[in-house]
Amino acid sequence: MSPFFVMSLLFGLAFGQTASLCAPSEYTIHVEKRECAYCLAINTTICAGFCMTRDSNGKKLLLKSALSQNVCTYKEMLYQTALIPGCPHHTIPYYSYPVAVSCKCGKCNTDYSDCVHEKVRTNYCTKPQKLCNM
Amino acid sequence: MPRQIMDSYGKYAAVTLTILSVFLHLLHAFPDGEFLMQGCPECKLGENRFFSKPGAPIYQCTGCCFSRAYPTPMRSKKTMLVPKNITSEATCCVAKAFTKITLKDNVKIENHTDCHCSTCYYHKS
Repeated sequence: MSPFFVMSLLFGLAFGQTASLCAPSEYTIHVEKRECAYCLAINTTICAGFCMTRDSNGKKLLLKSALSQNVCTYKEMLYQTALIPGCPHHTIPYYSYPVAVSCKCGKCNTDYSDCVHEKVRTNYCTKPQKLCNM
Repeated sequence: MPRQIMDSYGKYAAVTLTILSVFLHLLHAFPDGEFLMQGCPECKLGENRFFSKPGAPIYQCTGCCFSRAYPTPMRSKKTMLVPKNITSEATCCVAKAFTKITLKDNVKIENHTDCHCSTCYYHKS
């Protein structure tokens, strides 16, 4: 095996040892209402990625504010509204959702965020799916 | 002579294809637990120079873990006492295993021995 070939492999392996930072990422949300005939699949932008954190050696020595951990969350967002197809007249067919404009590694704001650890597995359709044309 | 030229071209082609396939693999790697481009080191043990003494190093878990924030699914929102528009799934670099060390003046600290990305406890505001 030539040295140049081996160096190329090692370079590639070494280059892949760190992670992508918190940034806007593509994501599909599924929206359905009980009264409506269809489930709407919306391609939107969320915040996802890696943030730097550390675990203190002396948790009992420090104030809670000093034990801060940062997570990937929205920095700037805007709200868009989509129309769910196949809804009866007495139902409000509109659905508003946040779209990430920019992201940051920061605190999870409990005023408007549900801060969890495990993956939430409720983003799926049970009805025929239609794609949202924005 | 032409055979030698063909051999050398073949080697260059093989090297180029190898580099290209490695980069493509890195670009298409999943974010969950996989690492992409330079910028954020993985969660692992590092020496805590503040507590370490010569011959008695103290290690701390430091590094990057995956998290994301997205619109709360409608199904989840209906079950919430106080509905929230955004769901934040997060993991933080924490000690998986540690030993307890007592320093001077009876100060007790942890010496981390293994790390992993797990539950965050100090990330809420």
